[in-house]
Amino acid sequence: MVDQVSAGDFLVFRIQGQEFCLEIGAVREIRSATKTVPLPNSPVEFKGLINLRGIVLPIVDMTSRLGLVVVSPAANPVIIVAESGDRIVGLEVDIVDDIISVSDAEIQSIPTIPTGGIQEFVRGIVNISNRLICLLAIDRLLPAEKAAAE
Amino acid sequence: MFNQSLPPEVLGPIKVIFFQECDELLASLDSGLEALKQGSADPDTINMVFRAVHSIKGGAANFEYVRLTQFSHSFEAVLSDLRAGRIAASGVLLEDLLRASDALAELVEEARGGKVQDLGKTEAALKALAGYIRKDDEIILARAGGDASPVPAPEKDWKEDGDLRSWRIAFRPAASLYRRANDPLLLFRELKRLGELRLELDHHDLPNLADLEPDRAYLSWTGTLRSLQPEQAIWDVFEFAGGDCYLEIVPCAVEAAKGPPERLPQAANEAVSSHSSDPQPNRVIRVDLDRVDKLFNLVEELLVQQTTFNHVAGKRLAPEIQPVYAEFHRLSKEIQEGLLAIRSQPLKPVFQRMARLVRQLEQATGKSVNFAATGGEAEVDRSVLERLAEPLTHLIRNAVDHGLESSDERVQLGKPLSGAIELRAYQRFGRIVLEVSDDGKGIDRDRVLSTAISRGLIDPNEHLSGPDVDSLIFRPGFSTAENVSEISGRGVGMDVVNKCVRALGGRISMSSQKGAGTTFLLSLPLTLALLEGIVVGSGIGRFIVPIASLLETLQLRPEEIKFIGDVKVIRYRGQYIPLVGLAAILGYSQTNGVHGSIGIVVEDDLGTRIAIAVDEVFEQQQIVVKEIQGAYQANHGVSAATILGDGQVALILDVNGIVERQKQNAERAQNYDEESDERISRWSIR
Repeated sequence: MVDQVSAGDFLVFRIQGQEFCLEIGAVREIRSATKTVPLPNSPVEFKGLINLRGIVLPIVDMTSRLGLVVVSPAANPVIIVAESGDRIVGLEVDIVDDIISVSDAEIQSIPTIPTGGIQEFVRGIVNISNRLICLLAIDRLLPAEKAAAE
Repeated sequence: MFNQSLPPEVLGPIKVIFFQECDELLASLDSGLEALKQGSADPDTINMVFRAVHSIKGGAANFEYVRLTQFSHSFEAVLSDLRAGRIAASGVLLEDLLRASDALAELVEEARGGKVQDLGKTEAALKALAGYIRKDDEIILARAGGDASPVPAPEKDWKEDGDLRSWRIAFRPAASLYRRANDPLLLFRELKRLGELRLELDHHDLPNLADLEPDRAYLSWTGTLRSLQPEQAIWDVFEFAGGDCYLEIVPCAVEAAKGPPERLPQAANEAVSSHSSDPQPNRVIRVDLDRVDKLFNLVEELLVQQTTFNHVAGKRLAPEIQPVYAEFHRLSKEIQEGLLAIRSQPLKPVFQRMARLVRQLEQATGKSVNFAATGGEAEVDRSVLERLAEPLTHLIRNAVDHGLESSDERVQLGKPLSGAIELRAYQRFGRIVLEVSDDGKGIDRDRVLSTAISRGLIDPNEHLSGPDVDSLIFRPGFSTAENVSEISGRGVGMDVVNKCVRALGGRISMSSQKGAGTTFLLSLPLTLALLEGIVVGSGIGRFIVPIASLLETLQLRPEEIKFIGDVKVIRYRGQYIPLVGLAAILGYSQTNGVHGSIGIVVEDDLGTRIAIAVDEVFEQQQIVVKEIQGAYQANHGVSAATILGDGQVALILDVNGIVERQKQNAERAQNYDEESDERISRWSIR
């Protein structure tokens, strides 16, 4: 389950008190959350669409995407505009913390203990100055490619 | 030659260019041969045809596509004889050449990495070509490796005709020549085939190794060629090198060598071709489509921002600023139109594919067909062009296979032996109209009716008008072919064509006369990037209804809304049609309440009508279609999105999906045992 994760810079953000990160190369920009236009018949974690300077951008609510329990709703949620291949998506998170530099030694594989549904999105664990940060796999956060037959 | 000398990352892009050029060359080969077939023995046309094959051969040899090289060599040899007037442009020859051109196209596909072509077909074409080639002309293969061993020059080639003349040749490649992966050595070999070649290398400019810049050009050559070939043949050798070199080809008055060659002028990168009698074909640049698309998106953004600006500041703008703003907006619109024009491409390549298809079908069915295509110069947006071939292919297959009678039948009926199929394109009211007509049997309405009844598509007691009967052939599950044949294949029927055309925002109609033929009429938008629609508002936001599916908007009066069971209906043109609330039908609300005082009557591809209740109807406008970034699961009811003037996202309604949902809801209502709540599956992982 652990693909090759290499050292580098990662953007750290918080969802319901837990820390997560993404490789900085996958992040295009960060903006504050705005009202979305909901798309009918879509999964709950898919909040809707926004206009990102002329691009119709889908917004994924990361709390429900990761299956986390809402402890307290975020006061000022933030959207991380991220890229995966040629797809671009907005990830709505509670707050963006900082950017960290991580060495190979600080990246661990996911523990083999059962961690619930979340492990399917996690590529590895970053253990740095006593913080535990889950490194997310952007491609697994996106919905599956639309069937070619459609 | 390149395969050994160049790394794959360099070779790849060069190959891409080669294949792009092949497509263009094949197109001009086809149109040239067609013109010759129509009786134009114009030397320019013959030259064009020859050069097309010659260029393909040159590239193929460089990349060591052996089969393609061999084939194009034989092809070229025949064309060379045709050009020299050694063989006549007879009808039979042109038929063979057209078939050879088809085979060549397939070999190009094979080289491009397509499926390996059936040997028999190429062999047959080769054999036909060989009948025209003089025996002493052997096929020369591309040699692997960069070795300079002389290519066996078919000497007789040039000893047979004309006067022996000498030409002074000066050739100084620019760096761009090497960048385009042209190799002077290959050019010299070609020259050598024309006659007796003496060349001297001038390496005067070659710096010391330490100062040598590997991507610059330092060498030049001068020399003489004694040849029986016409001057054009020598220029043709350098066709590839065209703009990338300094080139001089002048007749020598004195045959003796003129002492040491003079230094040649520096070849600029946009090199000078001293040859002026060779007209530049078209002033064309090759641009990566992504770049155009990117620019197009930027202009769309610009327009959205301008509308937003107007929305926010419009009324507060000082009177003297307003005309400036209007001008600003007009210019942006013009840029958008200009970019759309850049993305537009003529229909011709698709038409040529169809001509090729007809030739294949002639062979497969044994029917003889006169195919005529007109209007190929009409342009449509690339998005439309890419998706035109499929419906046209179906229509033409059907026309040859089912439309046209066999030759025997035609003779008995007193019709010309060859069936006629015509493909016509023209622009009308901002749309492109395509007509496919044949002079075959026409559509037998009685048979259509009986088939539809036997397939359970209609009630036997139903009374249908003539055109209604005709439209039955577009229904799914209808196919009149009594036995599914090789050609029309897998029972693919007109419903597929209808679906393709509808997916493009187009309409298809048909007119037919029994015994006299059938005409299909396709009317399509010029682009998929823009769409005419009306903006409607409801409690849940604003949506776009495409004009193509809109029939009417009407006031809803409460007393006119009736019920059939749970389903609300209204009377529209003498029929009861379902009335649904927008929020309910899209699944935003769980109740099937109907809010709104305005009914939007829409029609799906199969003619099913439905009324959607909304609160407000805004103006009709041209909207820019935006695909929704990232994949989302098949979404019944919404096809894409757009950005409105105030910067808000609005969804474009997909009427087919809405009708589909309405049907499902109605079925579910009948079946109250089943859970009625929407089952929304989680996104699947991978």
